[in-house]
Amino acid sequence: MAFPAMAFPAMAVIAQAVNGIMMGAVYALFAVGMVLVFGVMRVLNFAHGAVFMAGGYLCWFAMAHVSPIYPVALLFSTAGGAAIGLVLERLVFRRLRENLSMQIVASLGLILMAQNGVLLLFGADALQIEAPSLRRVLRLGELGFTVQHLVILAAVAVAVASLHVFLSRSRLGIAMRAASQDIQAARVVGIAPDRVFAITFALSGALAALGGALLGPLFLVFPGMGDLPLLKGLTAIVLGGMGSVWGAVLGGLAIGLLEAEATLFAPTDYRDLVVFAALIATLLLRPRGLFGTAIRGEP
Amino acid sequence: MKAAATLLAVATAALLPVAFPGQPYMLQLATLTLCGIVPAIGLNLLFGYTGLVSLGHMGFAGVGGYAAALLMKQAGWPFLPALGSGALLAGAVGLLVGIPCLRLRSHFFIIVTLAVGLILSTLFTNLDWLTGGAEGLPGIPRPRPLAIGGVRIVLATPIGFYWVALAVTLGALLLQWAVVRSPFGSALAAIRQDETMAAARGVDVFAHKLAVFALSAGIAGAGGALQASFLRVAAPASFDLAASINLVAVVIIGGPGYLAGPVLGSIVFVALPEALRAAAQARLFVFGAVLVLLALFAPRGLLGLGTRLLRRHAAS
Amino acid sequence: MPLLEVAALRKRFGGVVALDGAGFTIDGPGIVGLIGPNGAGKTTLFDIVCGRQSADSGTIRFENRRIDGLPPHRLARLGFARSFQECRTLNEETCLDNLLFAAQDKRLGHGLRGIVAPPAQPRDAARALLATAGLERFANTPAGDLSFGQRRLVEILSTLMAAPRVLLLDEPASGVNPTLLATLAAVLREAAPRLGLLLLVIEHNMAFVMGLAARIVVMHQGAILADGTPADIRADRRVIDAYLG
Repeated sequence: MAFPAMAFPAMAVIAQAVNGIMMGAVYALFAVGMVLVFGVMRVLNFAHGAVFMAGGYLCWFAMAHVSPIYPVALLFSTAGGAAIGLVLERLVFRRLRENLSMQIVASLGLILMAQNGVLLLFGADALQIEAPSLRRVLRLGELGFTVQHLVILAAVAVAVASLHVFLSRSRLGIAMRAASQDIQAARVVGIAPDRVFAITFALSGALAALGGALLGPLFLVFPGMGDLPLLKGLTAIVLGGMGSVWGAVLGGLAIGLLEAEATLFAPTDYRDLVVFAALIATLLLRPRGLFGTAIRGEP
Repeated sequence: MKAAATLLAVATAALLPVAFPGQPYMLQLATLTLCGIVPAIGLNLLFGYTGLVSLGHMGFAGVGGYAAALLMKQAGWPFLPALGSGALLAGAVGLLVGIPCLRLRSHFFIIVTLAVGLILSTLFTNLDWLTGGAEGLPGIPRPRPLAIGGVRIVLATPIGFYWVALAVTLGALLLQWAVVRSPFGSALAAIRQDETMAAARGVDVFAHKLAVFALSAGIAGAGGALQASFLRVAAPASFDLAASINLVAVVIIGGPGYLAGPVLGSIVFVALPEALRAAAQARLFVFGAVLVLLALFAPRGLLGLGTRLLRRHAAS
Repeated sequence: MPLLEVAALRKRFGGVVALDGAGFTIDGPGIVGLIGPNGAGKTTLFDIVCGRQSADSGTIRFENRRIDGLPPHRLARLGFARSFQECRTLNEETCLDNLLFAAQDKRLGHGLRGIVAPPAQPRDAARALLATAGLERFANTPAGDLSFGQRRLVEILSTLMAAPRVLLLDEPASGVNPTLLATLAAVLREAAPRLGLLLLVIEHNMAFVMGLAARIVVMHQGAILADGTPADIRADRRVIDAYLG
């Protein structure tokens, strides 16, 4: 044993695992949206974190001004995220499919617009979503966690399961999977590529906004709230092999667990460093990620 | 023609502070622009000419910046040797990072450079005993006066330091020019355009990528050292992820793969937010919108756009 | 001592056998055609000889030296050059620069020394070579602006600029119009003896390859089916069956 058992009380490990799986579920949701867009359109949308952040604000707005019922606010944010996704695809990313470097510049521009936009609209102070019932602490023996922990796990499970059914059963979903192999393949199913792109981005935006709306009640809502999920989401899709939805889900969960458990053996400030070092170490051993196969167009 | 234009630009840059006397703020902006050009040149060689995107390049600038700061502050080294050593150390770190990472393909490599940048900036913020933590290393002394044949040039004043920065920038531009027209530069361009073909023609692709990665990290390190000694502090915020992403934007906006791309990009990136000051709170929002428009309508940066318009004009 | 000796190459992709014991020996310079129906394994064989892929088993010797498994750039420095079926040129560079790049010493050390002291470039030789193919007026045109057939010529002229010992051309005639094709044949016929070159040509255009090569190797299902002069091959019953079957 590298670490004496004394320093690792089992309870602490389990408590961190609960936190880790909860955060990992949020990362997984985030990463799935990114990997869908990357798979179908070869677009790396770095502005995905901005949509996540928008989801947090939409949720706050819905709770404060539309309906204080949290599930309604969740649906409101998810629908809003889908709309944002549609707009981003139509106005920006459809034209940048072949140009990775300009995807980066456009994303940077969109992040600046989004973060300073909410700053102008809602002010610089972080917002608190008023939902005390979600923050109520449940006890399971020595273990304590909030209601929201369970809500997040359930919502992510439902979202990923529905996505799986959509991708494997529906004609649109099958077209999306076909498009990720070869964009012309979507036509075979009888769906125009442009429509596939629009749906992909809408789905991706919906998932990102849902993530923001789920994390909002636990932490605060602020302009930079999408930054860390973006970095963790990128790490997750790379770990997962940059091509598979399940790879992204497992990658997200693995990162959530790793960073939570890392606080037990490393100072909190080094938590992210542990995650990124693990990413590099993994790629040294498996250059295409944990579940990766060759990428289209590469020898 | 080109030589004359270059000479004119250099002369203008050199005389800028004399032409605008008593405008310390303008001078400060101009010097900051120069400090931004140097690391952008490093990234331009890597990205613009070789086609490798690095999203963590200011991390290497930080290695150079902190190393130079420590040498000047603790060991009392003069400016130039400290800058050179900072650049060498950054290049060496680039070499070490490049050996494992450059074997990865395309998007994997990009994300790993992001991770490397994040790891470096985490270290800058948290290795308090070495980097001074969140405060950084303040109190870097100004360069000493330069004596050439009895003439004493004071470099500690704002104008003096502007000239120092200009000299370093011109040196980096000269190096960029020499690399680009060398056989090494042609091999890099071949790698960007068709790696398989370059290898079939005899280019050791990995060795070339490693060499340009180290060179590019070294130039970024020199930029970091220059910036730290201008601001008189090496601080983590100068070398964090946001700074790295901004650097990529500088190179892309100016025009990747153009010699003057980093210059133009840096001017736009420093000057545009200043020009938008009138828009006060909304200026970063407007700046973001400008970036999106550039991405959509100037896919090879401003210089690419200019070249295209010129060609269209010549054709009609 | 044979110049090039390929022996018992085997290569599988998943369940598909691409090469099944292919081998041949070439004693000296000259022009050799490599033909066979689609999927016979010709391009895979080229890729393995040039180091782009590695064989599962088998050996390749160049002047008695084992060269299988060497990376492409090492082979290029031994004197191997190739063109690609899909035609690869530096499309952003001018035709002249395409040729000059091919001629340049690609070793890293040489390249880095060139930063301080740029080496002389064989501009006149490159222009002269472009002229032999009637492309001198495109010397300063980016290769990407040319037609496919013209790019094909630029690609092959570039390989010649490097003065290779062994040149492998993968379907040089495909996509090239008859006029350019005649030019190409003339260029190759002149260059091969002048450079003391072994020219190995994969081709589907029978008239082109039979007129060019003194020897034809026929591949079928990953192995060598026949090997002889163009006249022998034309008369070979097995070859006709392979193409028809």
